[in-house]
Amino acid sequence: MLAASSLMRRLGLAAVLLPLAGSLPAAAQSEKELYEAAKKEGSINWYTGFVQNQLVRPVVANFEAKYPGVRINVTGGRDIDIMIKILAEAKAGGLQADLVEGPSVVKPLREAGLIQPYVPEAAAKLAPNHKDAKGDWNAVLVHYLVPAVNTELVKPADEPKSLEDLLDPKWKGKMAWTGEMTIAGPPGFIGSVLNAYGEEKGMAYLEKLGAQKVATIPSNPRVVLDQVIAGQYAIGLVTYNHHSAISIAKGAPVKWLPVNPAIGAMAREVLLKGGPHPNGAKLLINYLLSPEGQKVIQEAGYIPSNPAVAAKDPSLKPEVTGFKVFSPPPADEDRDIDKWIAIYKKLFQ
Amino acid sequence: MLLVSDLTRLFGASSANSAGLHPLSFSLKDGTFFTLLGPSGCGKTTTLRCIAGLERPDRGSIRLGDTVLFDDADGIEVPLNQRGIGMVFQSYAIWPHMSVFNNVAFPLRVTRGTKPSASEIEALVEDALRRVDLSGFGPRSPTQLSGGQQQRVALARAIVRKPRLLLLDEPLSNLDARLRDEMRAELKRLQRELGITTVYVTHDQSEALELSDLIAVLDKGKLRQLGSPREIFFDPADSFVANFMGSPNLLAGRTLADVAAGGMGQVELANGHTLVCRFPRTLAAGSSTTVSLRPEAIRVTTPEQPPTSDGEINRLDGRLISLDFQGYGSRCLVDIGGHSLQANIDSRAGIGANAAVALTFPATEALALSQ
Amino acid sequence: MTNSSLPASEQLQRRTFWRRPQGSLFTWLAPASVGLVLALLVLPPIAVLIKTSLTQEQTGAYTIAHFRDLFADPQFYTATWNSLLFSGLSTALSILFGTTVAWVVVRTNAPWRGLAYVTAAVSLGTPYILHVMAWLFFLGRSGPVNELYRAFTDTGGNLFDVFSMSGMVLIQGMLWSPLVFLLLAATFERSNAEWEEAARMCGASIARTMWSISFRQAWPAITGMALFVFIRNLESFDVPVLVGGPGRVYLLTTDIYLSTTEMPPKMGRASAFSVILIAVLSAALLCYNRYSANADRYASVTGKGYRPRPFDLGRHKWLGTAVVVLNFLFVLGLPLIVSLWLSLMPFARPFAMAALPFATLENFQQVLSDRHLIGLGINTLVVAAEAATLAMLIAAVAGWLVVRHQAGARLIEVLSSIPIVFPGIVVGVALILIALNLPIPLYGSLTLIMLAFLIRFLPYAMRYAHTGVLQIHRELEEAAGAAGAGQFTVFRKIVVPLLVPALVSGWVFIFLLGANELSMSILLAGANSQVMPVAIYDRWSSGQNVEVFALGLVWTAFMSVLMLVLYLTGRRFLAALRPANL
Repeated sequence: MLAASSLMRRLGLAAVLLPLAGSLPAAAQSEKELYEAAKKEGSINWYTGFVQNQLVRPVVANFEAKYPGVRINVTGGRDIDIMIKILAEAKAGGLQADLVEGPSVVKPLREAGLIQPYVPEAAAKLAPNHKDAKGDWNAVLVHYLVPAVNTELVKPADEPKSLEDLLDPKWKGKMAWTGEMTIAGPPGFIGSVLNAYGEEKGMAYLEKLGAQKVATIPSNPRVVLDQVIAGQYAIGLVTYNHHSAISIAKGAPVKWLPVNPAIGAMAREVLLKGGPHPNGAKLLINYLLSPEGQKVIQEAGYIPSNPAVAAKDPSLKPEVTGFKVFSPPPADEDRDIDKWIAIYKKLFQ
Repeated sequence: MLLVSDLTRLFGASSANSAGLHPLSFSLKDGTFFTLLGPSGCGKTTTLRCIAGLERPDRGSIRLGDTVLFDDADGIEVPLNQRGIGMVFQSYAIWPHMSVFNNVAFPLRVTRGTKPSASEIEALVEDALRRVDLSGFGPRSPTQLSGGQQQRVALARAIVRKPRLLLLDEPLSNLDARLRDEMRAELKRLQRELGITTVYVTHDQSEALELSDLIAVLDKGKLRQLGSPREIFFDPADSFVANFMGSPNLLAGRTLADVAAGGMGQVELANGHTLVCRFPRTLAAGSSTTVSLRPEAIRVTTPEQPPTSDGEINRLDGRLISLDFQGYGSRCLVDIGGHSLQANIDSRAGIGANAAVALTFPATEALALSQ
Repeated sequence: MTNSSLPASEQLQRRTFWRRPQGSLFTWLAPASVGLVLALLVLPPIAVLIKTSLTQEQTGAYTIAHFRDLFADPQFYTATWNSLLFSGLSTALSILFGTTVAWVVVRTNAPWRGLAYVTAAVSLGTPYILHVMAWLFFLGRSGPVNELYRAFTDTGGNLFDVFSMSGMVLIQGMLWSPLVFLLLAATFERSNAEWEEAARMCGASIARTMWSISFRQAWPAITGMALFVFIRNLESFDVPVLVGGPGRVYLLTTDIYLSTTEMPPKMGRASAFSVILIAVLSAALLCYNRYSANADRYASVTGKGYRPRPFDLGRHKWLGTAVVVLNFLFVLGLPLIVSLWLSLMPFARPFAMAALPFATLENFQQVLSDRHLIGLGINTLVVAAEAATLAMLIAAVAGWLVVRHQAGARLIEVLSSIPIVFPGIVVGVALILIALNLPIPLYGSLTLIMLAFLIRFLPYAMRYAHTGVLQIHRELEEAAGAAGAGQFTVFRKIVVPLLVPALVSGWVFIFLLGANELSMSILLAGANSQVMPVAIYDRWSSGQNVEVFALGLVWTAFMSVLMLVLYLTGRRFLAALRPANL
């Protein structure tokens, strides 16, 4: 029965796709047309690594309120799990995902030929490094990854001020980071160290850090931060500074540290080629980039990618607090990330 | 001496096939072979398990020699493993993971307060195995033994530490007929040889008759009769006992006049005939009475034989219904008007089916019993 | 009392071969169709794994590079050793603990014994991942254990590092002890009470009887169980990934998972790993089969209707109770208390009075207002129920064919026991590979998850059916045959009704395993086929830790109620069905 219904959907999908395929250039639809088409599709399968109770739920609630008749089905999890699912679905010829985002999703999707270029109108407002010229991706929000400390375990005087401070023996076994092999994880940190110190000195530093026995939590940076808050670890390396801000607002004993350099990453939204609900996916991308969507992101405590929409907590931004950011252009990141992962495996696994 | 008094064990209403045990008392002299006999659910196994300590009686007391094993009034209950009783289970309960030797040696090794040396154990086990005719079987695994041999192992294990009391729970019921006869003789020999007080549970009356010094017939948790095999067989206390001891001829009737125990008196049968009977128990005039007649006591003749219905001999006339050839003797069924009687007849007597016959039997063989 | 049981010698020889007269349609149709179904379920995963492990990913050419790389990698040997160590130690722990509890509960008169059954039932209805998360917190650096240690020693260090081999062993051992308890409780209940009574009559003390008779008698069952748990531990996924991951203690299963979660997924390496793991497990299975054959050797059913009188622990009763209560605390109480505490916190906080004012029901509100929750629950129940039903249906026929030595019995036995060497993660990998290559859109569907469960849990279904058929006296069937019933009628009218209790227990067991399964579903669940354990894992790994505890508790409560309803209706149903003297 399940197989049959899925087959029916695929047949229906083909009927919708065929007339669209040749005739319509991606950006030429008006919002109204797009909404109508999305309503016909009925739902959107959004694969997202965003923290559900912080960001996904408000986005879904606001989107569905604005576009009745279009439901968002969320598939969550770690970025890596999501990517694997998408790649496997595509290989099976039954892609279910419509759109996805994450710090390091573009390279594998591009290699698999799964990106449907799309240039939403709102993308015009983004900084050039926050979008792809061909429309392969658009950043819906930006992140800064920094160390965070548990304020009950770390006295203000002991707070690490620099990368060197992390090598203090007193932190041995008391630091953790995520197991996500993305720019927003250990590889990004390794890249930032190599970038800041140069190859040779950087490697020497990383070797010393490896001796500090940093625990790898097989989940995303939010989990690492939660464990720091819970007191399991004193320091979380490579955590999103806006996550700290969100938790501080709830009273959590945590503090993010503007240690140089922070890692700059962004949630690069990608429209998938061959997904079952392309119009709905476009509608959602448009919404996320629209002033309204960016406001929801702002309200949730995240840092909107549209420079016109400020962060709820302005101090999260480097230009306000004054910390340096390592933010390699996507092309560099794609080129180097395998090398960084190899270093991670050698020194930290 | 085993003294059981007022032993009571009641089961909940749910245990339909176990009526429990109403107050039961008996005492056994040392060396007695005592049998608890009765149909399934009569309470005989419950009694045995209470003595063993496998079940706790609700009331009563059990004494073995000068040791009180159980007394509810004094709150005494000796744990079963300290009672020093040997027991053979119905399924033998031979531990399959131990050799025959280890099975038999087990009681010696675990008994509290004794610590026999290896050579002592060996000697005792060898002795026990020899007594049950299993010399040399020690190293074998019990799983390689036949049912009869497992039975002997169980017996050896029960007697190895020379217990004061031996309990046997239907030990022969799992054996085939030929083996059963053999083991019966064996059991009796062993018991006499060891002089060990024995409580034996069975539902087979011929086993009970052959083996026992004393038999208790139980029915629905009540003691029907306690006596020697001869007493039980020849002087059953009531129709239940007579029936259970294998008398097929039970004739309903009414006692005509008061008769004291051991005396002779008249019973009127339902079909109007009057028989002179022996009364093992006192019965009042008019009380419902069952007359028990063993087939072996009845003589079947042609009606032409002289009628001898005096005070010593009863006579009944009837018609032969069926005849089953059984060798020298034949079993026949005779209709005496309202009753059918089983009797034995000489196969060569020349009496055929449907013939008119006369049944004669001594008055002393007709037992008038309460119903 | 007159129930005549078989002579012991005959009982011991029950395993002799015996064949029915051949001829009816059922006689060959049943083995043929069951064999075919089993082959279709069991063989493709192996084939696809072997093929993938020998195929180069990009070119599709034949290669042994995956194996060569593995054997050249020192990490592989570490993982293998860790796997063996972890499985061995946690097996020992759960067997020790589970056996003790089972014996206390079944064979003694310690008060509060019933608590153990409640503990086991609720704990089986709780997702493993919730247990693991709770234990991680409890034993973690900021958990009460280490907090207390620091409070009393002033060292600032930790008494216990949970992210270590010993932490993994402790948690895994606790996870499995309820199952050991349940299975061994059944063994102890079935055991020949006369053996114990005979020992007691021989003068043995309770302890001596326990040691020399009860445990020796249950020894084949215990060692068989130990091997079974050992195999399950080798296959386990939740604890290795959640506890071993952060502690950098890598096992074979974690390495398989990590290979599939690299970018791009290294399916060739994962398959090679899987093939090797299957080989290791097959070796263990051979021992297991040898033992389980021995386990049946002592099987003996007496005709006695009474239940053995439990050992009177006398003054030591409280000791038995202590075991039961301790079991409750470790297996259920602590994880639930920790979960409850965390689910009431706005963010993870150590146990402390200072944190109490923060308590909030917000997490429960969030969970209960999540419109996905009902869909998730239904998906989970449907998948688990489908898999359990299909597995028990197949096993009923297959189990009977095997026990009664019908044609093809040996083949069916082998086929149905093969999946016991498939770790969940391996089945997941294999089914992804199969689904990716099938023309029908199976990938990401609930059907695929159901198929995975069916394959994985078949051996357990067989175990239940097999034991169930063994307990049906052959004469009952022969009598029906003598009465003129054909093979199929005998099966339908005699075997199936008598087998129902075993089938129902097996169904519940598989249903619970399925409802809490993570290692297969995590790889197979798609956008429209989410199941609860995966949702919990996803939410945990994407950082909603406190809310996840609320979700886990809501799910546990639901499953417990469901189990209670199943139990109550099941008991009535079985009571109505069960002939008075069975």
